[in-house]
Amino acid sequence: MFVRVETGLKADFSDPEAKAIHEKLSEIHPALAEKIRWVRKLKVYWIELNAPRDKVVQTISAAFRNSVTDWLFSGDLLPSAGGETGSLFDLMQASPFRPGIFHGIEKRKRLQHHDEAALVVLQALQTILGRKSNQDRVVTGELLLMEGLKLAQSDLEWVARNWFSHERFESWSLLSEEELKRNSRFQTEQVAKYLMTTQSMTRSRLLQFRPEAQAQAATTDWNKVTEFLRAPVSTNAEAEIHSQDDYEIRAEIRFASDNIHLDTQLETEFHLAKQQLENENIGLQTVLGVLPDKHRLWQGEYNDAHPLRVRDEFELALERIAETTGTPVVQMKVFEDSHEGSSSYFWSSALSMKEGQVRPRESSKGDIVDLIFVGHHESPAFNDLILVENFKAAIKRMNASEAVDFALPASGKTLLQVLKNPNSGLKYGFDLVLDGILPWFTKYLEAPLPLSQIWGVKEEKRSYVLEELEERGIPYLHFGSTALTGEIRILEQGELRTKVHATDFFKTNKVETALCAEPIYLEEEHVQPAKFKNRFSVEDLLLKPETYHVSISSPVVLRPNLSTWMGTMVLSDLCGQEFNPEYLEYLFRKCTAIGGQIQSVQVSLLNGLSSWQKTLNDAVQNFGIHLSQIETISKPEINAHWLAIQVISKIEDIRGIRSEDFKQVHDRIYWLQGNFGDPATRWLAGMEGRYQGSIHSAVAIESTQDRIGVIDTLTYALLKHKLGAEVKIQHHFAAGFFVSVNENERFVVEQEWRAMDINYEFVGRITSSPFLVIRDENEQSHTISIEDKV
Amino acid sequence: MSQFRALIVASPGCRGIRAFSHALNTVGFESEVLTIDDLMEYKIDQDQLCLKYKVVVLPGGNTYSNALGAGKALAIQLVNGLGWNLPRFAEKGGLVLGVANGFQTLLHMKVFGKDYAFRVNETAEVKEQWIKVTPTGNRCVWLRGLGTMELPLNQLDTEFVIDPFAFIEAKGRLERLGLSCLKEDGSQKVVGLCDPTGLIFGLLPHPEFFLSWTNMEDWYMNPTRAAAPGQGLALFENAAKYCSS
Repeated sequence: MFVRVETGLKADFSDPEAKAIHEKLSEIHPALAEKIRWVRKLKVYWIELNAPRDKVVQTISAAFRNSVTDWLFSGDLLPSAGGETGSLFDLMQASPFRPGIFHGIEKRKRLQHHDEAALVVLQALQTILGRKSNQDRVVTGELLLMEGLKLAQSDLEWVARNWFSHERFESWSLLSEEELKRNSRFQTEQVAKYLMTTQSMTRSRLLQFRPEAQAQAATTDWNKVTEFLRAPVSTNAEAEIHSQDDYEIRAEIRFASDNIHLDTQLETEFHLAKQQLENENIGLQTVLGVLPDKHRLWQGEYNDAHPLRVRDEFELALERIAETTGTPVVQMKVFEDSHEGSSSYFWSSALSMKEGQVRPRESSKGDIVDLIFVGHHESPAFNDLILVENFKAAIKRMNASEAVDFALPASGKTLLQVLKNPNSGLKYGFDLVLDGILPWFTKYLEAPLPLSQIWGVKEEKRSYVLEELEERGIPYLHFGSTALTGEIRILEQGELRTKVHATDFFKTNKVETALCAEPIYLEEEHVQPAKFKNRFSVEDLLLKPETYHVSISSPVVLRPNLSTWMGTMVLSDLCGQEFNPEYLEYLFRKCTAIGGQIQSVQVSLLNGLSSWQKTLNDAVQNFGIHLSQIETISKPEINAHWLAIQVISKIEDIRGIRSEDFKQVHDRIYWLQGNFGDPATRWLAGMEGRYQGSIHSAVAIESTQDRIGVIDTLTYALLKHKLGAEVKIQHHFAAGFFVSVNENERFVVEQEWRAMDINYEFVGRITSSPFLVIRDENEQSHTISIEDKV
Repeated sequence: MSQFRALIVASPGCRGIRAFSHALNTVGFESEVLTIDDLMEYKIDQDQLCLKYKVVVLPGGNTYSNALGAGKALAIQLVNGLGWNLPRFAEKGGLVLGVANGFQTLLHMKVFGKDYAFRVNETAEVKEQWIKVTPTGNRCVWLRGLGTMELPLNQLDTEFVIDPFAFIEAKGRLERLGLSCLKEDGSQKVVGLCDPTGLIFGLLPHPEFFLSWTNMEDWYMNPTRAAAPGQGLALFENAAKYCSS
């Protein structure tokens, strides 16, 4: 029988333990503690007893009931033990703020952790029952019952995560008032669901097969697997001995269930050091040593490394092992990010032993290599850096796996000059196929970056390399191959166009013209117009850890550190000739409005103007901000002047980041006056003050905007949530911010503004109808439809 | 005296066993420490208890991590596991002492009735201090002839509570039968209870930690008394006197 029991002090008594929690919370987070007006703490037990109902009732009563001080809630099991209604409603009635808004936070011990209390309770229950049973189970936890009108879900999560529960060994969940009043959480299914989950969470269950693999696993000869995995693999010759029969094991084994996502964390797992990945023999021994012993989950530890990157490296090592030894591929699968405060990651392995997945053993097939051009064609400031990241990763991977025979940097030269490199291994000649090469090099070869390369790839590695490039979205062109003929040959449409002797080619420069009369690279013909003043919705971009790149197409990106919740924010924009110092200041304000503390500015110039340089130098002097020029490109043939700006800022807690969009009806809109370095800016950036969290949104005003521009700013802020506003615009709001504040929180916020000498003005309120109602200085109202305005 | 044996019940998390043992041996008992597992193994049920022992001591501490409330798990083990009935033990002349957590165990065993309990104090912190306590009435055998004493307290649950639904009746019984036999000097808070026979006694402060004058924090203020026995020892002497009378 499944039972949930909650015990807590009767409403007649105060709850000192809950009060202590509240007091300590007020020391850490006073603003949040103020929102909690009343709090009680209850102990919770999830119990499975293999006994009839009447016995269970007696046992529960004997074990948990303390009729003098406590109420006991158990659904319909012992209704008389819990006040008048037998539910938490009785306890809620004790709150001085009833009817009030009640919330609950429930925490329970994670299963892989020792739960002393549960063992004692189980022992006590079994003592009362007078028998022992392996089927009885108990899990203990606590329930924090709180009342607070202004408590938001984020507040409750904060309390749960940072104060009430210790996530390393406890899991938590939030309960609404309706759930607390109803007794559905006591229902057998609800309790059983959790206890059943706990049963499956035990280590022995965790290491079992997934349901779909169980059938396969049953038919698998595990002795054979173990024997195979233990087979000596020290030399290639020995590896070849394995016949094809060895690879006929088709079971796909997964060593963890999806439940690992839920409430469990594994404590003692295999620890794989970096050195174990670097040496393939040690790595292989590690794998072989681990897999047969049922320790099939292990933990890697890399400080400051992205888990995917760690996995990549490990995969690479294992694949290399597979390639060189003929061992089946062991694949990795990342399961869970690290818990807070640690840089470790958990993942499981999946041992794929399907036929055909075994890579052929590496063997020498001569020195003929394919020539493949890979690369990126423009500056990172003007492009999506994810490609650059991918390219770097691919190069690293190729180098590590020795898939690339040689790599030549392809920048600033013609193709033939590049191929003339004595380190290229082309001295015996090569074939160059011109088909398709000209438009390709139009785009890529002239790039002033070291991120364009020509790779020499052996035939047997070609598919592997191309797969890798395609997977990472890196453009490439297979344009030729080396030859052992001693000649340099130019081919077009399958026919030989010209050829010279390799020795002549490598000794003299004149041969190039003979080989290829046309220039192999052409001028840029198409000039793209510069984008200007990106508008963006922060909500669409925030809190996406996978956002890992910076580009003009993503004006705001975050690189959060998930363990500390600190983040780096990069706000990018591309300006044309009309760039001026006020616009730079506007960008700074924009950064501040979101919540960033500006650290530095990076610029890249294409056909830069001297006026920009002056503006930027002035900015350095005026704002004291570090400015770095990533690159300066001069291309007179491109009739454009572009300036890419990236404002780098630090965010203390990315969870507290603000949106530029007004979100909540009835919020008050204020205007805060502030330029870079002003109190308002410091306050919004979180450098001073306490109540920034009370701001729902903040939007920066462009200093050049007149009254119409101010209306535009408000319109865009209201657009996302289809809201409207009633505002007074009776003078020009120069450079500053519009912020929205909840009515209930405005007093503390205003008080703080006054204390910090921040100049503010009440502008109006947000309304639900999508119209902007403006009262001018003559007290005349003008109504504008938001959609029409846009 | 050596014929009287005293049982000290050791359970996970209890403390002061050696002090109890020392106190009981000092006044002439033959003390024996047995854990709950030992008691189970040796099958020390109610009959065996009455047969073998004259005194039962339940020490303080945090028995069983206070998992079901202070002393509750131990009470379940003694009542449900061993079948002990301490009032019946007392009827046969046995003495019982429960200190701090052991006192809570006695309360959970309903030795003093079902309407009394202690709950967590208002600060929710363990009170660790010396308090002056004064015996009231003359029912309790353990407190006979004793005046105001100073004893160390180390307890979280110090608020004495009477069931609000039976308050008048329970309060009346407390005074009428003289169950509240020990009160804190000044505040008059109940810190000790005895059963109607006066043989079962539970108290919050720890007499076993004041067996010698040097147990006091500021004993050096009065160094001439360094060799004197502590006031806590008097309780055990009373028990010895009762047994030998």
